[in-house]
Amino acid sequence: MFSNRGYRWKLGAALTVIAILGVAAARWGDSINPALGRCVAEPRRWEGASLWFPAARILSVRETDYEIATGAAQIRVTGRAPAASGALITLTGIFHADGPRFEPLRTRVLSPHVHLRWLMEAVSIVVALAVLANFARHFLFRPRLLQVERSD
Amino acid sequence: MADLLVHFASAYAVGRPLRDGRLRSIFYVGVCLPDVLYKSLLYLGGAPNWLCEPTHSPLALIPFCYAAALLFEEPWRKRAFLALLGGAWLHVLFDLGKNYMGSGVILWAFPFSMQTVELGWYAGEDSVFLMLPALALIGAIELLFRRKKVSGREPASP
Repeated sequence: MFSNRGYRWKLGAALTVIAILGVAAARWGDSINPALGRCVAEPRRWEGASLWFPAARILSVRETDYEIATGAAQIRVTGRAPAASGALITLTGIFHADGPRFEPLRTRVLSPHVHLRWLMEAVSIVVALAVLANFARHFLFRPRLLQVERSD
Repeated sequence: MADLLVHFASAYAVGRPLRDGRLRSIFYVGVCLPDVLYKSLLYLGGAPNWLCEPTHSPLALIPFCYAAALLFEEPWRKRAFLALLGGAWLHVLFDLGKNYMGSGVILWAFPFSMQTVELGWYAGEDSVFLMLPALALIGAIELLFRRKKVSGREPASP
């Protein structure tokens, strides 16, 4: 399995399996948690679909409903707003074609430190580079080392 | 996903006792692999979200790690595969604790099922609070191993 025999075939097969898995996931997952923009563009098709918005901004608040925006799309959400307009929330619920409107099932107001996401991303990049540098220290071809060994 | 510092701290806790520094370095690459693959496909490749999901699925990670292991020289491949897969699975295990409002984080049985699971222990944005404890954990483990090394070198008392 790990020998050099049929190396190209093995590598080719692994890469083919990876590609097939990616395409399969994209196809099978296409109808799961679709983007709001797609639902709003074709409301009849997505009637009753379960949606999850990782982050949505409350645009306006009324007594019985409120408006949210996620990505480039907006939708009216039924029920009382969990926070004032301008707040970031995350919510799951059901999309309805009439309106269209969104019936929330679970709602949570995002913490103010959600803006620190850039810090997490920046630290993650530094960690990834450090891990790769450590790997390179152990495995990269180092001609100088060979020269030293040869001179010995 | 939790940030890579937290994932690295978990890998450091598990991998630091490994005596071979080369094997450790592969294990650390393995723990970063799911996020590096996901974000490379998403941002550099412009792929849709779902196409990137196999990078965080336990079974789908096997061909990724196998292909990566084949890039090593022959005597190292089996160890490299196990270290990469161990690290990648540790990453997935930590991501499983995230809260996606019940929508699920990990495609646990992909490609046989599209069902997602989550434990819902922490919100994604709260990962920022785990960064300092992660640094402290790395420091504590390093200190422990250095002290062990020093005490191991001390000559035996007469």
